[in-house]
Amino acid sequence: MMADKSRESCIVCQIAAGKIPSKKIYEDELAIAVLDVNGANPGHCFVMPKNHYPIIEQVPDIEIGRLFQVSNKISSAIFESLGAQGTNIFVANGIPAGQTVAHFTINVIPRKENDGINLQWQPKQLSEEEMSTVELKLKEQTKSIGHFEKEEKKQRIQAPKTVALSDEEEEYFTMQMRRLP
Amino acid sequence: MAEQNISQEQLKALQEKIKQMSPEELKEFQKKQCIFCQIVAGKVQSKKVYEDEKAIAILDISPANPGHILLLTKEHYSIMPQIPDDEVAHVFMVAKAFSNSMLRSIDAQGTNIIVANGIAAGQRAQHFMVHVIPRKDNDGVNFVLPQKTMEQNEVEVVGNKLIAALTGAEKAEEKPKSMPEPKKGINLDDVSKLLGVK
Repeated sequence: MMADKSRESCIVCQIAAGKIPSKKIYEDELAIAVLDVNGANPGHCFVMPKNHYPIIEQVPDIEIGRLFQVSNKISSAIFESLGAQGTNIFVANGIPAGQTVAHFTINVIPRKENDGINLQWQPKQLSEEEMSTVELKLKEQTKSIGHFEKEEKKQRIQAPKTVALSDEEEEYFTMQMRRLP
Repeated sequence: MAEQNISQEQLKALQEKIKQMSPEELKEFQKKQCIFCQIVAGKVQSKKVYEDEKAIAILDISPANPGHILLLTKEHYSIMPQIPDDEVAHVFMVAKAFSNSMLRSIDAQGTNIIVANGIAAGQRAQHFMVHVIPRKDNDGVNFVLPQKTMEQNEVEVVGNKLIAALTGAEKAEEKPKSMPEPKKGINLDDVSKLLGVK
């Protein structure tokens, strides 16, 4: 299967398996967090699922919940121990959004004034009509949101199901990633 | 965010009043000052695209791209560390669902999910929110994340500090005390901070 092939060549999977050395700061049965040694600021951490999911869509809800809870705890730890003035939680899904590794990753970034990081944007002016159109389109799709898998307390987490993404789609995404410099 | 211009005397009177408040009263007070709580309550108009028992999503009126949404907790939390784990999980499950649906409904080619904690990180409102931003090639959004290489000994020092804070936090189940709250001008919300009231 495609998934296995990409797992072997996935740098994050190899870090999770301990085949590539890293400064690990957190680990549980679903998630792992390591320090980015070329981070945007010292203390920049990657929080990643141990399972190989190239894009967010494939990550099961339960794991999404866990990964962001871990990110929140790391964000708090950054405040407490590194004297940061702020933190950003940053995720890039897809190449146009800046995703560079074909393994879903959450960035937790310590912030200080004038640290050279820019996560701001120039607001786009939309007409009332454009706003209404986009509102309707989003609403159309979001009717189905809200049925989440729940993490049952005090129960070991089941082996997560892999989200159905055809081999072709998977291949497309990983090929896209590899095209990056 | 509504800003009030108040005199020193009024500020003092207010500080005194806040000092007398119970934590519940204080939270109510903060809620009344928060524009996003008023949006949640339907008292201020917004383009709402999603709502459930814990969260609400509205279109950002100053979007990075068309379809940029703000995902808010219905409860008033000014910073992320205050949010209970189950609500954190819930909000980001909704963010994931939005990210997925943007690829289909508005032809996004990618998405960014961003949270800013603290002014230095770009937080402007005193109500926790997640930005979900649809992205396309050459859409004019340019986020800059420089690469700063750490020395090996710095990696160890910083990493060990984080591990210590994480394991300490886990044992004590405590919220951090040192986290600065966002601040802007003279704002009634800041009074509680001046007083060190939580």
